[in-house]
Amino acid sequence: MPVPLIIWGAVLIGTALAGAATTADAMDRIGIARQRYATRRKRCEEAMWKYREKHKYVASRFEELGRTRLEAVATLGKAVEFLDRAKLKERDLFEKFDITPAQLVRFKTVSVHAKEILGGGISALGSGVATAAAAYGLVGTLASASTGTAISTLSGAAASNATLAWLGGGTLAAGGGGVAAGTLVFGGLVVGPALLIASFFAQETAGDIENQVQRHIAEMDFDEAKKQKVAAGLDAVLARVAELKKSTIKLRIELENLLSSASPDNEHDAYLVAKTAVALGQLLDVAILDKDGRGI
Amino acid sequence: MPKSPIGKVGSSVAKYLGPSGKVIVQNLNPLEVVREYVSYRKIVSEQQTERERIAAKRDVAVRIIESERAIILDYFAQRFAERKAALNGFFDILHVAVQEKNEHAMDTALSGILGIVKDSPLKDFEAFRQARADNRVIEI
Repeated sequence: MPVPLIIWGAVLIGTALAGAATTADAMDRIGIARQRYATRRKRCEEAMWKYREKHKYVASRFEELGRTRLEAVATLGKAVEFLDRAKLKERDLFEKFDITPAQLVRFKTVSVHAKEILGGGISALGSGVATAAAAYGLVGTLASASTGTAISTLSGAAASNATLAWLGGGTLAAGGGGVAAGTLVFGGLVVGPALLIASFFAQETAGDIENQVQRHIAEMDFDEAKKQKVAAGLDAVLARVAELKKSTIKLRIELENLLSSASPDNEHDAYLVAKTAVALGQLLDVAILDKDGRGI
Repeated sequence: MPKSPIGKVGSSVAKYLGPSGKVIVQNLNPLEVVREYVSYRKIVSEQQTERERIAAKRDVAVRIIESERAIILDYFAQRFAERKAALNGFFDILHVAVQEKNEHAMDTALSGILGIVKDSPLKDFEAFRQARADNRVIEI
């Protein structure tokens, strides 16, 4: 009966070869999926780094605005001294410029502390004074918001250790490699068909891993898009910070100009100084973000 | 009795295949192979469909976010450009007013500057976005 034996042998060898080839293909697919994930993850980490840098940059712009505001507060103090010398009636100051005596005292006190802080003697946080940066709650607000965001970002976007373990771990290592290594005999039985079936499992495992990679990459794509949207919002915040900073500088300079040419004995000059000082004070009261980091 | 190398290999195959795989191997017949093949093809097809579903869902979600981002960029670029031009104009008036000590011009400039600066475009954006979502016209 040589013919059936030859056919049977051919079937066994054929299925064994097909199984080996299919398993090798599954291993290739797994390798490609791993590579695809690693490449995307690297890109994602780079994007996260840029995002964190942007937050740092925004925080630094807020600090600059804080310093600009401190300088303006110091100028405001000079204006108050001028108004003291001008001896304007308190009633006039209140009725015409909405400046109360308490406000004058506040301007004076804050300005003294502002000068100290600008002089480097006291830290803004240590002074306990409503400094421009601390009083308007800008740096703190953004710093906490950015830190919180950064933390959630990291945990959300970067693949977890579990994912890494999943990609580098047992499943892949066990994914048919040992099985395919020329195992042709099982308990005395020729297992070409068994190898073929094993290769089906290997293919299913590869498909499963590809799906998981696809899901993780989709999450990274989505997360990165969200970060870019937030970054666009940060650009708007930066533009607002720049606008306030520039306006504060310009108004402070005009008040300085006015103070340098005004005479306390001239009532008209004193009114102009008062008006400009009030406007600068109102400008300093403009906040950018609330405590939750929302634009206000 | 110690296992032969062949037996060891066989054990590892059985371990990899799991209980069901072991049963299959032990009861191997051509029909079983065909049945496994059909099941395998079905799973492969489902996996492919799932990958396409994930990619499609991702594409839609990312596109929505990108479009929102584009709106943010356009909106603020225009708003801040308008504000910048207006502020520059008012500061020019203020500069001259301070030099000439012109109270009226100074009032105009200061109220113009404060009017712009106090009006936050960041806050306005929420209203704009909501109005856009509702397809409403914003009253100016």
